Amino acid sequence: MSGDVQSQSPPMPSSLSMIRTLGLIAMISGLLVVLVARYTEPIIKEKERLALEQAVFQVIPGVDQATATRVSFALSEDGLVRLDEETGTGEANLFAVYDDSGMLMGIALQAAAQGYQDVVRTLYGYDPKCECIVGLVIMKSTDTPGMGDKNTLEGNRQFMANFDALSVQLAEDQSRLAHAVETVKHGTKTGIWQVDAISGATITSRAIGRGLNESAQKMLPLIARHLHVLKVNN
Amino acid sequence: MADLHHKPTPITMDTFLRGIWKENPVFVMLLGLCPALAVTNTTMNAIGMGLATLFVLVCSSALVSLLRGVIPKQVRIASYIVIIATFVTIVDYAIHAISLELYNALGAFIQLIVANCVILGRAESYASKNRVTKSVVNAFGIGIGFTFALLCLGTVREVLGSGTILGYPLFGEAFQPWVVMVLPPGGFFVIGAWLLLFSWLKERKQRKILKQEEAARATG
Repeated sequence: MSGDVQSQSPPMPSSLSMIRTLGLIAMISGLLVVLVARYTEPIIKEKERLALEQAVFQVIPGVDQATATRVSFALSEDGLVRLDEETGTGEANLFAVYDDSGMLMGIALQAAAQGYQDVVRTLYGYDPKCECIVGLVIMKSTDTPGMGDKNTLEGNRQFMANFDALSVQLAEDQSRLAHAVETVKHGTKTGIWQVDAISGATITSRAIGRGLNESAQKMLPLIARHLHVLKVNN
Repeated sequence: MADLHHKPTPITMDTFLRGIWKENPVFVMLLGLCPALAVTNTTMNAIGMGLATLFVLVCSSALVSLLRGVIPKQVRIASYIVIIATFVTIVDYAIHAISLELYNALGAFIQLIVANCVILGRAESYASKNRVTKSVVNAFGIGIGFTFALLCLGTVREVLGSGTILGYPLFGEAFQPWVVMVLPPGGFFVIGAWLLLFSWLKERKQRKILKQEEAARATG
């Protein structure tokens, strides 16, 4: 019986032939992927740059896009480094916006925290004069459609009003926020540092608040140290 | 390796149309339901996912069919997966370059096209046994059928769940969106309704054929 089955099954090809075939397919695959990646890379970068630029101007109120200038910086414990627009935007974690006279109008910073389905990414505007967040755009949120997705969040005027003047004042020692940014249950907001959550999208609202708090706690003390450099666009 | 010596059957209109109606991957074969339910909360997402799947389906079928003579049976599934993954990566880059908004909306579901059983099924059961042209025509039909099904789901869900079509409002300010329709349960409700409609149409057609046969027997 087993002999019959053996005689009916096709002969086993040599390992070399299988390796050769898989190698050929992998080579075709690699070639195609590299070609497409090389072709689309500059297009993707340009699209992302434009989207970021638009978002940066959006989070700083009163910006005239025709005359305003955006300058990218890399800010860390080691210091503040001005980045070249063409090559260095990828490493940037701070975007300063200047008016036509070169005076600082506001600073845009990125924030991210784990939401319900994926990381919720935001870009927020910081005004050093009032020490508050003055605007926010959702860069990416794929949370529950109709509740916590990007369009729904941005379309909720009541929720977005949280970020018109959200206090992120530094403590006296300038090393942390005086009050941590926190998301509270819808309708229970009492402090100017609190974010009033969206009913039905609490996890997404909390993710936004948490992201802002983590980013502000880390970046604002550093900004305070380098504010004299950031104030004027040289 | 695939048997290339059998007589090839000709390409007919049925080769193309079968995938759209008679063998619709979603409404008839109930395949690829994961993306069909997950990303059809808007018409645009449905079109994007449908076209991405169509592209991967057609290209992978063409390459599998082209290489069917050299792929040993023992490594065929691994080979098909590598081929499918290649075109999924290409479509991933392409969507990223075309629209950031669509890319963010579709999220991980673009990469998950690799695991779509409609595509692997086509490669295994059709492209590996047929000539390139015939495989491409068939894959194109199946892809159109898949896109059509996603469009049916996406349109209903967006209209009822958001009161819009392709982002344009339909009912004015007073409309209260039926939010459940853009949530996962809405996907199940809508696909259930479409399946009901398809079954009813099929049954009606069968009844009609039966009646015609009876009438022919009575007169003949």
